[in-house]
Amino acid sequence: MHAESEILFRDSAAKALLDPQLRANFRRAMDGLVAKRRAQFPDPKDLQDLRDLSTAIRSRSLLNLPALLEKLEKSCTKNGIKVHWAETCEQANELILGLLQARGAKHLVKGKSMVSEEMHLNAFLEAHGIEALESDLGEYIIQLDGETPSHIIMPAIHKNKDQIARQFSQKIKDAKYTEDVDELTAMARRVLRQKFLDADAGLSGVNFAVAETGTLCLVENEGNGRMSTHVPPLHIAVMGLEKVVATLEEVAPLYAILTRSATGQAVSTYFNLITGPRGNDEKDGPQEVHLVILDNGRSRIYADPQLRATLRCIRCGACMNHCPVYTRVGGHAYEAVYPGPIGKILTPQIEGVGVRHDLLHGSSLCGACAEVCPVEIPIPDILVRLRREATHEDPSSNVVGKGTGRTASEDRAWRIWAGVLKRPAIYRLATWFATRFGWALPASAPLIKSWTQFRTKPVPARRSLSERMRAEGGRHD
Amino acid sequence: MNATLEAFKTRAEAVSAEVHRFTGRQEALAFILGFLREAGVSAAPQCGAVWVAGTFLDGTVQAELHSQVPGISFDVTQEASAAAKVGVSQLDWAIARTGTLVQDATAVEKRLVSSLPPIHVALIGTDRILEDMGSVLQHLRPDQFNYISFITGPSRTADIERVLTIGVHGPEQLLIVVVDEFDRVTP
Repeated sequence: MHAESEILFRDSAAKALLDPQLRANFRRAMDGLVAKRRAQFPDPKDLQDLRDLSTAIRSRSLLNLPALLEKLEKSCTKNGIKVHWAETCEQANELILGLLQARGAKHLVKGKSMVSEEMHLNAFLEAHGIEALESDLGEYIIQLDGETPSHIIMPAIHKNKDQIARQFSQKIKDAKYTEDVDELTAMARRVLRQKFLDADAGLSGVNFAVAETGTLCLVENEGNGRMSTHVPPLHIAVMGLEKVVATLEEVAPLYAILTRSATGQAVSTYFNLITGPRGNDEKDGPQEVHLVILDNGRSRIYADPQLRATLRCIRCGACMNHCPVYTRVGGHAYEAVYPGPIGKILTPQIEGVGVRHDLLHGSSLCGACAEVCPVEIPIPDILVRLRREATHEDPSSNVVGKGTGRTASEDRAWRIWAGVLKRPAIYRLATWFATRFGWALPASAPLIKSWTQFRTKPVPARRSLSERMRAEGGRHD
Repeated sequence: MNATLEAFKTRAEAVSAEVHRFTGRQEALAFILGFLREAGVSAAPQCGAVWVAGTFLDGTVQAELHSQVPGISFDVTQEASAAAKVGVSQLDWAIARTGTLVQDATAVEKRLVSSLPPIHVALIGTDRILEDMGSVLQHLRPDQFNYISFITGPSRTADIERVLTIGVHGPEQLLIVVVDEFDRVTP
């Protein structure tokens, strides 16, 4: 089953490596983001203190997750925000479609939301005759080309300005060709401004949801998030169920570490705390605010004490910016909504460790991601755990696709290996052959090739260690 | 100039906002009217200014301002804001550490004038500048206000090649007017 459905990261990564333009675009952008983040944390002790605090807040929120979610629903309901629960992406899509159709909404304008990407909401709504327009500049750029985000914070970072200039001049009505970034931005502003004013509904993500007060926190720089939430008459917010925190006091440090880790800003331009729809005496603004809370495998991840750390993520993207693999292959090679290190542990847990087995091995376990993660998610440890889950059917584990990453050929290889190691006579014979004739094996031999493709062929020593021990008088003490 | 104000000014200017400080309300008002005239605010279409009246205008006759700069409107709607050149509003608090303005923006016109026009003029009392976010949140509890906005500098993006671009969706110019005697009516 696994051979047909497995998505091979090694193939798409190899393809990406051959694209010098793509590599240059990522290298430049990631180096910039790394430097900006570093400038925000001049004192390592301050950084560590803030990380400790943020990690503690996120861990505690997850520990009390069911209670906090119930409280959030209660607080939101009291404030006039209608809460909806969706176990799957399909349910969430249907829910949102239902909300829009019931109000005859035909034009939805969207602020940035990775959860809506996870749901493939745009395609779903388009199929039902509703326009879903991205208003974040980066998201707008990739939507014009029918692409997916290549980075969770900078969705269009795989493109350079020449590519965007060509794209705008072809796809935007009356647009002239320009490579001037200010002019390109102004062009997008002009198109999107009209869309905001015409929209029947706005959709946004949620960075933090406060259980105590029923407040949705929105972090953004462009102002499109604010506009999505107050220009159209209906506001729908979508969030993964892990985004909840207990109190507003807990939001301040998380917000401080989020913007610093993500874009190297001390604060974002806009930070909005939404606690309810417009009052009865208001003439504009959303009459209704709806919150859709998506599970999509998260409660299963929550149930495992080690894997639960995955849900601490505040989606800053620092792990991508610092990853030697991501920096070279870019986000699209992962063929997943969430690329980079966090995607490597999140995607297999949502889609199955069998179909995403290859992705789990697309890492050198260098640990850069865990080192910069603002909430100290042990990404390499979780990767190793998931690698094991992929090939072992542990009855106590609830990981999707556990054991399905096993292949008959790999099983056979390990059986032969074990057989040789368990029999001293055969082991000695094999060693004798390897030391005497190993040099003669061609680098292009079938099994050896997968190693020698990128590395020089190791030449076995002429005598094994135990032979030398015997000959040179070493003793077993 | 006190240290908190100084810090606020430095931080706000670092994120491309302009900060002007005045002792009295009349001076500040004269400056704003001058700025509006210079920005080309007039009764012509697409040249208006929308102003959400707050305590700053207590004791001022709105019609008088209108006669000085025709084009100022105190009737803030979505259409008027979308067509205006300048939006003027009064902010509730400011954060020195980050150069941030904070507002109870439950009334949607406060949000409209600070997001739709290309220029936003923000009025704030000097004593309203506090040290950090925590101190502000002690005054502005979300359980009492449906929409709280934090604004730090004009709208910005770096989505194209990480090149910083000001004014993508919201205003491209943020003018902060700090007034010492904000609420005092000068005879």
